[in-house]
Amino acid sequence: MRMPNLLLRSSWRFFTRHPWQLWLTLLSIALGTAVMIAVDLATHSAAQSFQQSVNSLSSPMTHSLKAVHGRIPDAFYQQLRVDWGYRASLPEIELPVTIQGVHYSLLGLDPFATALPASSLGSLDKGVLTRLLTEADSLIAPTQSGLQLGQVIEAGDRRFKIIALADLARSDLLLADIATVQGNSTGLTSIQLKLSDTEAQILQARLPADLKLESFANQQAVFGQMTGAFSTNLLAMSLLAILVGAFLVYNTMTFSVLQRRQSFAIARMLGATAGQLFRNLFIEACILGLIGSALGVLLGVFLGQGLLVLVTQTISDLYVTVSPTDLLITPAIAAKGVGITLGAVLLATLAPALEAARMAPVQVQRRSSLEQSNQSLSAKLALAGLMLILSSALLISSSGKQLVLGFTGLFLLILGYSLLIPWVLRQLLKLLQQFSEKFARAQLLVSMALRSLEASLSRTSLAIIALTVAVSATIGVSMMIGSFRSSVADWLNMTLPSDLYVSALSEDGARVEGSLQPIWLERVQTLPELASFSTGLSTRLIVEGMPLPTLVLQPGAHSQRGFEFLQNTPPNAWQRFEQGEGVLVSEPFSYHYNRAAGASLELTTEMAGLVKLPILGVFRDYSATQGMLVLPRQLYERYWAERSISSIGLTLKQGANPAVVKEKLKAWAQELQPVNQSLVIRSNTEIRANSLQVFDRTFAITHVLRVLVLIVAFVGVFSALMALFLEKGREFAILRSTGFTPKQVQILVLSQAALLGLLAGILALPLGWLMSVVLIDIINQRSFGWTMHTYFFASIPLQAIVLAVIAALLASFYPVRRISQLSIREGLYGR
Amino acid sequence: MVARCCLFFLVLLLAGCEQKSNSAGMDLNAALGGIPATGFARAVEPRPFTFPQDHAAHPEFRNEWWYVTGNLQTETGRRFGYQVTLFRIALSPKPPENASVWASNQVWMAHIALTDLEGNQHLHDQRFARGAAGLAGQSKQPFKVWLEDWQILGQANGDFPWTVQVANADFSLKLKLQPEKPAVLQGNQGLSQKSSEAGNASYYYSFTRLATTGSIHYKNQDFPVTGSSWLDREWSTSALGTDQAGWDWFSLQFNDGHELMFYQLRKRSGEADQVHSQGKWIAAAASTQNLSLKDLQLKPVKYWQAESGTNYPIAWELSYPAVQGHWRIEAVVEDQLMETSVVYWEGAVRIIELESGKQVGRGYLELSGY
Repeated sequence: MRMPNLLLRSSWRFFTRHPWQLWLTLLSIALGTAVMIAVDLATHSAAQSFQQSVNSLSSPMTHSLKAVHGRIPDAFYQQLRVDWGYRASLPEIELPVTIQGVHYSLLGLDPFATALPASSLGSLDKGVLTRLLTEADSLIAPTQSGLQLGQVIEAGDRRFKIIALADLARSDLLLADIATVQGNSTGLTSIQLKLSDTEAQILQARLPADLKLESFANQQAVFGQMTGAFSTNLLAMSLLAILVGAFLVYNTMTFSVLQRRQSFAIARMLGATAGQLFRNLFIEACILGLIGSALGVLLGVFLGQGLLVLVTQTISDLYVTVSPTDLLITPAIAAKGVGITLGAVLLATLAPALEAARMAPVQVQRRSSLEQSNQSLSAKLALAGLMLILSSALLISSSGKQLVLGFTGLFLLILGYSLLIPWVLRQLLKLLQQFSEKFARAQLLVSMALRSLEASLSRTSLAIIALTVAVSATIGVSMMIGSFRSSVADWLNMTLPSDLYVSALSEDGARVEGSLQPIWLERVQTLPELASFSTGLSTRLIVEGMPLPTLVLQPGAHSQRGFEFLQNTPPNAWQRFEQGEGVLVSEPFSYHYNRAAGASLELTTEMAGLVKLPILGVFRDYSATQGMLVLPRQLYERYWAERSISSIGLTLKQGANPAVVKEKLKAWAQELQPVNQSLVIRSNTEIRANSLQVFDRTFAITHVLRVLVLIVAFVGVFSALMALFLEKGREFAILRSTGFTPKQVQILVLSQAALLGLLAGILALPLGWLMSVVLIDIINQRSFGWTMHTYFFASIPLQAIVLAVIAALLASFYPVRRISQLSIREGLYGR
Repeated sequence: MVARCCLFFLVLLLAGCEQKSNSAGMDLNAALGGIPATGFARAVEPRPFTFPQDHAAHPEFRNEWWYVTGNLQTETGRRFGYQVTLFRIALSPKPPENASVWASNQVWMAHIALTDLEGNQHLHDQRFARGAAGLAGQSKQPFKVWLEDWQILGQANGDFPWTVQVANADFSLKLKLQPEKPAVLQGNQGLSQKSSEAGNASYYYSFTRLATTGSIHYKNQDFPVTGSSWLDREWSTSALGTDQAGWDWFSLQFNDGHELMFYQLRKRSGEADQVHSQGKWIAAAASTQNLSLKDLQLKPVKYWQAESGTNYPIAWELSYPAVQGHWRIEAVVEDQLMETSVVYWEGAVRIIELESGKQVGRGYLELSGY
């Protein structure tokens, strides 16, 4: 038999004799891949879903025309199509519909408007279109949706009936005639157009100011920009899982090499060359990596289903409404996942494989030399680690607003800190030994445990690093979310100065973008409990050429309390705002557009074209990541014709009961608001609770990812400790033969495990704190333009340490059970 | 022309599917099929026609059309043929109970074509629109039928002269039509029986000679033109039997002031329908003579093959012994195929007297169901 075959067979034997080691190695590889694939899939599918919703029929259309506020007047379509001759135009009315918890988009369109691609409508049976046009409230549902022919669908106070099933372009689309969807309402939600760039420019120039034309390409780009930071954050979390996974693979591979010292020595003596040995280990790693990452892809698809729901929820809460669609696993995503994992596995194998190949057969037999070389290595590594931490600090401080560089800095910090750990561990253990010798002389077991741990650092330090990184990520992320949540809660307490809010909602009920009947203002002022009131109009204005969420505010006496001014905002900002001298901008706007108080903004107005307005102040805001503008009503009415309002804020006199007033307002709502315009009356506490709910939903995915990283680390620690303790079978047998009871040995092992966990937990504290600082002050600001207060939560580090100890103890349970079952003879003479 | 339109809609509404659809996208014709005749008015007996009121739509019937064809020439003798057709299709007898401005039971379709004899070219286009939201519709006074900016406009009282105005990216037409003869009531006093079953008939009148002036914009040039057009007006709810496959339809204007309309219905078996094929001979003084297949001899003499492989008989020999007429009717341009949602051949023809070889008139020919 040729030598390479012999080596491979020896590898095979090793793993079949240590199945748990094989499975744990595969599991940690698979988990790392799975987390990355799942995140990739979820963000990719969410983007795809958005793209589909932008160009709802995958038609050859290129642009969409929408009203800045509300809907496009019906008559405008005739003007656009007939008078102006834009015949490649498709009018649409889109309504969100939820059927048994599943979100659908009910799309009403004019089937005669344009040659719709057959693919988007599927093949309609004879007469279906006629029925769609003539039967009241009829619609077509996608075959793949599972909805039934004849099923009645309720959307608000309306009922629709499925008269046909067809292979529609999207599985979340319900198609109906435009008149059916419009019903008693008026106006179009959008007009899709096919335009060249020049045509688009010409059309843009002749459009009224309250209509905006956007190209699908641009909308997708904006979506990419908006959600880019979010995706990068998720990607970073998934890379962390890979990093932890790579540590573990390195650990397992190193360990498997150490365990096979003897068989490698024998192979070398039999004539195997160093190169053959190296190649063999590499092939082994490749096979493990391939199998592990293939399992990871499967697991990732499964995991991705869950993540997709969370991702779309977050994107819908923070940016634009997207509905979760089917998960799209593309060969590219799978290949990327497998590639990165395989790379990490091979890189992790490089060092142990080289070591195994380099060792002289005689040297292999002795462990002491290994531990010694490891000792001098740990000092070198620590130095390298320090350098990395330094360069991380340099990178972060010099990278400006670059999010990716911020994350790179964060990863350098984690890597650098990881490299410090072996050396720090060694010093800590030495210290502990000295300590125990001085004060706990009698406790033989304690000093034995410490020494034996120090002696096996070459094999345990990697597991400790993995655990440390995972636990520190938990600390860092928890601190960040905690601080963020507290900042948001503080901010909400402040920004909701009114006691009650009457708000008109947009059609999907997600945003305060409807309009209130003018009579509301008169009615509200007759309330005897009223102390003061403010009005708001939520709209989008064209600021510096881009649409920006804007609140047009008619401040009341209490309104100033709603603003926490930042960054050198002059003290008279509020007075100047009340007098209508300029605008206020939110912190994210100021950050992204680089405009501070004192600078000016260019707004596209209806009455006077481009107008420059001064920024009076910058206020804290966590509501719109792309930034927002607050315009005094007075100024708005000077430049825009619209006079509607979308919300009224009321503060009540002292002693008035908000619940009573709320009931009064509710009664008015029944009487005043038209049926198809929804309206809510909420107290500030309700809005606060609601906002925090959205906040928690937003970070649900972060929590999930953090737990996944921990699971990866746990699997690693489990496998490392188990291998360590099992290998020590002989040592334990010697202890037993010198008179230790099984219980004493078990205590020894458990205390070693607990100590390892404790050390990992303690080491995780500084790194966790550093990570939270970077996440709060650098990553968050670069992602969202938000600054926040840093809060310290004592419970988080405590939880982290407990977590690390529990993980380590759990990992030692199996070896501890084995120890009691192992006979001394077996332990002494082999396994 | 009755027949061609009826068959046209037979195909359109019942998705007869003998026709090849060229639409790459959704097949509107197939999808629009299956409108039941119940609830609509039927043409069962002759009715009085009053003009200009009857120029406007009769929405109680399922189908209706305004069909204009004509031959035109510039001062220098450059010749053009044109077709402008508006079709009204009611999807249901009553308008839907829906307050939306988009709600309507009326769908409109229009076909336009321009034949350039000198350039040996035929351009055509098709549009659909719902009769709502200002996109398509009709009015009695002033007379107007329109689909977006394609329109036929009459006077405030609904009468002639009419203006036909259409434009697309390739060409535009603006033509004024003035009748030189009164309306011809086709069939039995305007009731045109299509198949034996009662009610399978339409109301049908024609203006067989309309003096036409106006301009054509084509290839970045304006051509002032004059010439002669032909209008067919017809409305019905149901017409033809299922055994009829297609038709060959002639509208001929002779230089001596006569006109001849004839449609030959073809059965699925390939033979001509002896009973229901019919036409009219209109004298210069506007007196008329009914025609059936017994009165004429009709024989295809030349075929043109479309890209699809279909052969269309684009030249015919026609004899009408009662007036000693022996003519060759031939296409002025071979390819005048209407590649619309229903594919048919419709084009300008010239009339050659067989004996002398002289051209004695012009007209339009429609070939459907091939």
